[in-house]
Amino acid sequence: MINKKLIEKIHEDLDGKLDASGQQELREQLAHDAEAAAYLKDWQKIRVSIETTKEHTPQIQFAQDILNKLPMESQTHHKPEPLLRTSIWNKPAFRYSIVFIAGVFLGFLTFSIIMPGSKSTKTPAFQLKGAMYDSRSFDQMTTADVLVFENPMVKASFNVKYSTSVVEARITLSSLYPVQCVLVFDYNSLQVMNVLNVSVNDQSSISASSNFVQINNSGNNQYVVQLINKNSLPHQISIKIMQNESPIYQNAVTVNKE
Amino acid sequence: MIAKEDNELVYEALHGSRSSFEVLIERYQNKIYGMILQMTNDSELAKDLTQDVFIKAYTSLGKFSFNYRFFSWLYRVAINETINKLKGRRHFESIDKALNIASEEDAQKGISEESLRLKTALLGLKDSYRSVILLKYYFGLSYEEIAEAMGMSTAKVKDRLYNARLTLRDKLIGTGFFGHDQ
Repeated sequence: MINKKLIEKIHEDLDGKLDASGQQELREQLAHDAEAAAYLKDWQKIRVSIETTKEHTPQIQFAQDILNKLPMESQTHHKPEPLLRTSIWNKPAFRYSIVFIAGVFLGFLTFSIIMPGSKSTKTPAFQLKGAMYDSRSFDQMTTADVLVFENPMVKASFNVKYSTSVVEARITLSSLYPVQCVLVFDYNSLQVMNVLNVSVNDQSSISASSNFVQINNSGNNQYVVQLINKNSLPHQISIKIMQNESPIYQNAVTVNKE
Repeated sequence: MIAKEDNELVYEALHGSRSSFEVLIERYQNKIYGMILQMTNDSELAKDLTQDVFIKAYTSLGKFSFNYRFFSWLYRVAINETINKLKGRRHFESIDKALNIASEEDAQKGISEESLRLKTALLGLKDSYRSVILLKYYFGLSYEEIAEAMGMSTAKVKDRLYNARLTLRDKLIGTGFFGHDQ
């Protein structure tokens, strides 16, 4: 019985896959194993005979016959696999990893959208409309005044408009350091309806009382103040900006001027 | 002009290009016919089966995985079709008939007695051994390519080939094929 490894080596040699040292080693083994040497000789003859038989295999030409027999529409229902599909995609670990990463990404995206204070949920001030409390939009309201203040540390703008029932102030504040902005009015004429943080960071806030609205601002922020216009008489809204409790800007806007 | 890769032609055939499939037929018809002929030793049967293999391949093209080589897959279709066909016959009758036909045809072609003995021995092998010998020695496939064509591991291919080689040699001993055994 010939050793299995020796047979493998004999066929490697017949296939031309043994290097010089391997061939030398095989020759030495065969010199001491007559049975294995006979096996090699037999297989050399088998291979020569196979090569001869291959040469005698007749050539055929079937292409047209086969094409004529092919079903006409057999391929139109197949959805072919992508040509560039690589074997790595077939590995479950790879596919699960992609699904996991996609899941984490979607989860993060969903969380960032629904998270309170997320910027993506805020509506820019210029898109807000008075229609939420008045049939007319902010653009259609009568302009009371547009105040602008700027010094090296603070920039502020107050766009105040009014209708027969509502007064709205759209305020933009930009300050390097914390500032307070206070809007004061007569509570017999105007009443706080709503205050909105349109675009406000964590260091800023807006609050309201019966006759004033106070904003604590730091950084670049936008606010909307909505007041009920109780009658058609002219009313004044006093606006004050303070830094370290010292006024740095003071002005007033009159609504119901006509 | 650079010849298109097999898989590219398969892709085009899947999109309805018959001319691409025709190129594949031209490329492999003689190899498939040669293999089936060696398995059956019946030229008429081999011709019919070769056509059946390509028709089967065409209608099953949607199942082809682009992770494999087309010719390995085609050999697999051919092996299965041939084995199924042979199973439908009484095997020994088939061999005897095939050998009678083959010996007449081969005599006309001037094929030696030695080649006929080899054919006889090959036909006497069981299908799985014959397939692996044909793929290795008639078509020069690597172990990996044979593994793809037969749908088994490379280790199993090596093991099967080892047994097939021993069996083939044993069948040839005593037939006068080697000269030394008479």
